[in-house]
Amino acid sequence: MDRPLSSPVQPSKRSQGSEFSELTLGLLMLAPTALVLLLVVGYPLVSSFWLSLFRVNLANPEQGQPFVGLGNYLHALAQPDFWYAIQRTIYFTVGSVGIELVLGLLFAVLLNERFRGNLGARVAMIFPWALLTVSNGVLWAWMLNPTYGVVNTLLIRLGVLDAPKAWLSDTFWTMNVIILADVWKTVPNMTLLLLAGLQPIPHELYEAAEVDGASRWQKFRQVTLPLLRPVILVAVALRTIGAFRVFDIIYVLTGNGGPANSTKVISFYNYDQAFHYLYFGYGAAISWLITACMLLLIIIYLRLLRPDVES
Amino acid sequence: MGEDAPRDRFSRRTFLRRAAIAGGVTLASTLLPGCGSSASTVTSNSTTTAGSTVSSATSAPPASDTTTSSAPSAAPAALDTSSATSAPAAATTTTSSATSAAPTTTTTESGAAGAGSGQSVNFLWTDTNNTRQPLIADFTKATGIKVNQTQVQYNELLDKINTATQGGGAVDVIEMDTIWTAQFAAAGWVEDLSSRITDAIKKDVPESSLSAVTYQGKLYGMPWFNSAKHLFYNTKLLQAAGFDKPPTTLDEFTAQAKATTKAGQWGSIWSWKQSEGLICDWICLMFTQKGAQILDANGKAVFNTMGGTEALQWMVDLLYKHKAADTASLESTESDVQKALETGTYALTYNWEGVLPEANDPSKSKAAPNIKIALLPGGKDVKSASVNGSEGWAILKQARNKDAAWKLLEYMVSPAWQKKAATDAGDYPVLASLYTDPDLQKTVQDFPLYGEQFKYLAVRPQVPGYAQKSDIIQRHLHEALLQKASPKDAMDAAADEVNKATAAP
Repeated sequence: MDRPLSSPVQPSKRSQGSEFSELTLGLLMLAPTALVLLLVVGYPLVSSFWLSLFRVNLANPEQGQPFVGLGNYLHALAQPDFWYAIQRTIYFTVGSVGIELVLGLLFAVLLNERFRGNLGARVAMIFPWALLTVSNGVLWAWMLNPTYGVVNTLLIRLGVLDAPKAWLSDTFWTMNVIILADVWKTVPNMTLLLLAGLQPIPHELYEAAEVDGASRWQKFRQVTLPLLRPVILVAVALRTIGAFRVFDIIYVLTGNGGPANSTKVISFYNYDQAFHYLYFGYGAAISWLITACMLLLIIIYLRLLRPDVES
Repeated sequence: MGEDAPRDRFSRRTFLRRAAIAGGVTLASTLLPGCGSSASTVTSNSTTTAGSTVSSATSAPPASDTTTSSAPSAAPAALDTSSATSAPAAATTTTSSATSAAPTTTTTESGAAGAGSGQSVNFLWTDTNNTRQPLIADFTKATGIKVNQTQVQYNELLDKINTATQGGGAVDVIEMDTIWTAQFAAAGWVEDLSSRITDAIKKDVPESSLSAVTYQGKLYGMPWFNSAKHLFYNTKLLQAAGFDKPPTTLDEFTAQAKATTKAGQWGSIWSWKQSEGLICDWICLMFTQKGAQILDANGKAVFNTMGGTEALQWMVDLLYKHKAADTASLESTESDVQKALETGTYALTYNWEGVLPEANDPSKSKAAPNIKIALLPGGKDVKSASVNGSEGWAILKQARNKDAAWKLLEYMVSPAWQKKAATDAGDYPVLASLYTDPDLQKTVQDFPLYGEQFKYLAVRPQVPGYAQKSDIIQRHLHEALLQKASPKDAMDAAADEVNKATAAP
């Protein structure tokens, strides 16, 4: 946000006086924003990092708040639970973003075609995304309930299952069911992003490909995909960052990251440490480790994006 | 951007306007995320409490009038819409169900009392099915003090209390489970009530109830109800399988559960979701063995060698060897268990008191009127074993109006509240004199049996940091119940981790 300031920075030849006062004016205009940003973003950032260097256990004030340097970080890296949570987070992220990408691409290509009811389909598409994540979770919890859920009833009627299955008490199924619930909600987001990327692709390219005798698949493979690549990367990057921080849907569906911690993702682990056990210093350190993971992801995506931007 | 534009007064003004708009938009977008998730919050009543407010540790805005929620813990608070109408608000609350996650905020006002005094108490508790709302209304009628309630599921209560005390939420009185007394008192969050709870009050409240709110000899709360797990069974299903009496030992339990399990019907269902309910059932089973122990005198975990492993083995066998427990147990809480019992297809369950009124109400339960209560099974030298689930109400140190808060506690422990709560909500009275009350004996089904079960209680460790230790044990119990680890390995690992947790960050 200090960008706009750099343009009028060389006043020199032009009318100096008014130029300068414009700079002051600009600064004045930006000051409130800068101040608010500093307060709500800058201050928590600094203070949470500062906090992460101390041993702060709010449930046990007698122990005081000694400085431990990077002790909290080292403690986290030595915890098997921490690494298990990271592993579960990666499983969730790869699973949900992967499926979302495939489905999103499919729907985007479909919606990009002209057909009757296209607009209706696009509107219908958005509904799941408009739903609150918590409502989405409650909805799925009801559908998956072993005693009266519709999923079991349907699967038994269809002959897939013999007896009702307790989906949320199975270490394999719980996470996958949560991925399914997340995919159902966020595919529209992916679809919209990709659809926006598909629309500017000129129709002539497809016509040219057709003249060359390209099949449908070849057109998709040789024309659509390469041109859509930057958009795909951005969409995937955004979704990855979102998925890595997943918390609410898991909280609603499992309450405690169960069964047997199989859905205790890193945000949940962080939440437990900070808000359930009140280890605030340790919690702050974990959130900084999560931030570090995100930064790493962002750097990787930026690298992937770069060559395309140049060409 | 103004560089290419002609330098005249007009462009200057345009710049000014644009800058103002840009600044305003940025400012707005910066501020919005803070209250963005609360956009859905509709509070129709100005006296709605901010109790359910969850504020992050770092920013900590003193949650003032409306319910706001901040980013890190948006989940629990996000669905705060609901109710918030005045009057006893019976229907609106989002109740129970498998997963819950919908804290509700209700305000009870008595139309009559001159609210001129303007006294009010903000109260955080778990009355999500509103069975005790008439009692709160009685209190308001009697004293003119308004009670702004935040009602949450039990499994969310601790986090709510944590955030309310750390984030400065406007909560005065909280529901305090026996397992939290130690932590809240040690952390200095709750008021020492030793001087307020006079001998006159103590005369009728037995020691076992007071122990739930005692830490290091001081009283930090007012006992609310006596509580224990009991055996609830379906006489029709047991009789159909040829049993006249409910089981008195775990071996008999297994036999009866096995015999009553058949197509479309289960011998038992349990609250073995990875949560505190799992710990409670495990302790009930563990203490059927004489000399069972969770922590030793030095606070070291010894449950793996002192009965815990055997109890877990029994649980695993019931699920997989005898196939006499519904596997849905692994994702069920106590309220799910009650709902299951009410379908009339489950023979035996463990649950807290308060099940009977609804389970034998034909309009709500298909199992009515066949549900009965009995002592929990025992073992070789143990007649019965249950777990103490008593709770109390405590006044937070941060409470604005401690005298009004105390009035609420005082009213709650009076016979007026205690008797009505027993008949209407199935709460055990904490007053000893009420156990011989002829009215209660008449209206509460099998009333003396509750008093009997209360003689056979194991107490969960009253130590600070209980929440973390319990979580560790829950997780390992669940691993064994899912057959990811043998009961012995799971218990050894749990004990080891609990002992290490004391040296945590």
